Amino acid sequence: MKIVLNGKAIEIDQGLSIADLIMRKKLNPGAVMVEINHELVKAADWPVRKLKNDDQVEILQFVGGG
Amino acid sequence: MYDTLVIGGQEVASRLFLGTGKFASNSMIPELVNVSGARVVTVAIRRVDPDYPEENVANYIPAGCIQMPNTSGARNAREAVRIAKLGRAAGCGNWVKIEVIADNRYLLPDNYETIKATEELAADGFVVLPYISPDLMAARKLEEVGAAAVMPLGAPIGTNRGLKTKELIKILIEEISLPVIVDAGIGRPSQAAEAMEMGAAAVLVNTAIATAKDPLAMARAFGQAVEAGRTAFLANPGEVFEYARASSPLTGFLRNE
Repeated sequence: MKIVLNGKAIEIDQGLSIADLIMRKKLNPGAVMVEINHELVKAADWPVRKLKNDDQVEILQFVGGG
Repeated sequence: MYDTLVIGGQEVASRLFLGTGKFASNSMIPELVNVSGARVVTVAIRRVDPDYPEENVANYIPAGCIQMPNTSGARNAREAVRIAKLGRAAGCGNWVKIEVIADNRYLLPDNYETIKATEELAADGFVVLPYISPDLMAARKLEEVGAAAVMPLGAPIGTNRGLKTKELIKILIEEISLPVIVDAGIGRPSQAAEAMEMGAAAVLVNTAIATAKDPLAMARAFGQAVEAGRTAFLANPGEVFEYARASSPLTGFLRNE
């Protein structure tokens, strides 16, 4: 199935959770925020929140800024 | 003399706010905060690049600081509100710097969209510090809709050009009862001191420190300048005269007249 991750369409396996996606992308779970379809998903829900076809996923982080 | 800055009901121990962009390494941030004395520190929110993941800058902000996300990247009120809510949900607290910019050459803020975002976020319990062009009517409107301070620009972001909007900022300081925090453009500690002498409540500095050859020394200099400027403001500077006025007595000279 297809999701849009940070603006780019990618193919993922059915039933993948947010936690799985973060692990596959080798990201530090303690350093990122996740939004699905413009709605923030709390870290505690990442292992149980399965991604659905056409989900708009944003993985975000704090960076230096003024 | 007891002089405190209170924003959104919270006492802030330093009148220098520090931005964290453009530094060679995030590991410099704790020391920069320490030497400058800053207690409000800004961060931005961006998409992760899975190929080049960055460190989380928030991990470098010392405990006791207010971590204030900005809404940079927002082109309208709706986007600013979304970013503000993300920052709060991610544990940043409820302070937010509203930055709504749709102009790429000068990065000038859109006051109208900024007012809309401020109104919505203030009603939602945020302590909202909007970055604005120094316009009195916009500042009055922001006060009315619940901003906790106003942050007029001194010069375009990142230019180090100083207080180009000085006369307009003076008007805001005179007419607005909210703290006026000069944000953007300040390039030298002397300019920060000047803003403080004018009665600004605080200044926000990033590029001037980040682009100095010795950022730590510059951070210290800004901390000192902001304190000096504030003390001078409280001291209420003397009148300015056109012609000389002798400081020594004009009598009892050691000569025969």
